[in-house]
Amino acid sequence: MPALSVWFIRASLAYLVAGFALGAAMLALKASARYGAMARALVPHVELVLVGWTMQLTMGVAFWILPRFEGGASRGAVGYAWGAFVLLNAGVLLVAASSVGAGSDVARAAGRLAELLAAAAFGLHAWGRIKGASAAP
Amino acid sequence: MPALTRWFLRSALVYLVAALLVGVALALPHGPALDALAPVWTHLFMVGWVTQTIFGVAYWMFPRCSWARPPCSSSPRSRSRSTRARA
Repeated sequence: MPALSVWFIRASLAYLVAGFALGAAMLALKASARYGAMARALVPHVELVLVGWTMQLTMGVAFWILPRFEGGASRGAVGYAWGAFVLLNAGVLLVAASSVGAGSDVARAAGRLAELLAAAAFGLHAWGRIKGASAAP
Repeated sequence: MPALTRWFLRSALVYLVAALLVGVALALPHGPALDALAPVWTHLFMVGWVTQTIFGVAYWMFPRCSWARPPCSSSPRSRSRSTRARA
């Protein structure tokens, strides 16, 4: 498994634990008077699980599994995929932090923009690797 | 396919059907009481179906670890370059 996939998948597992812990805390406090403050954790909970866990795991496995170039020797423009990893994690953390703390709409929008750029960068990386059976394995 | 993967995938399919049933109930005209099912639908789908399918397939497909194949039992930093290249 390539190093970038290891980073993607381990980071996604960390987000899985964090996202589930946040959801569990929300459920545990639902009956208490402190739930009002905890309700703000809904956006980070969804962000951690949906983008941090599922999207990141998908990218990590795709980077590893998709067909390679030059008879299996090259994964093509790897820089785009590394860029996607950095942007995606920056985006998730920015959205989560800005939703829980003194949330600024600008920071949240910047986080979402970083996630969008991450998806675009990964798309640029993966586009040429999505080929039919006649392509090199 | 390992037995644990079969358990994961079969229960994931059960959750998928349950999630879609709740989805149908939410799509039909309903009173405010049924709105409480929205988070139930989300969790049946995301946790019961998506996450459980990922667990099952990962358990089946991801590289295996053993003392004879050390890459899994050592940290990435301690691996040799040749081991990485082989992967």
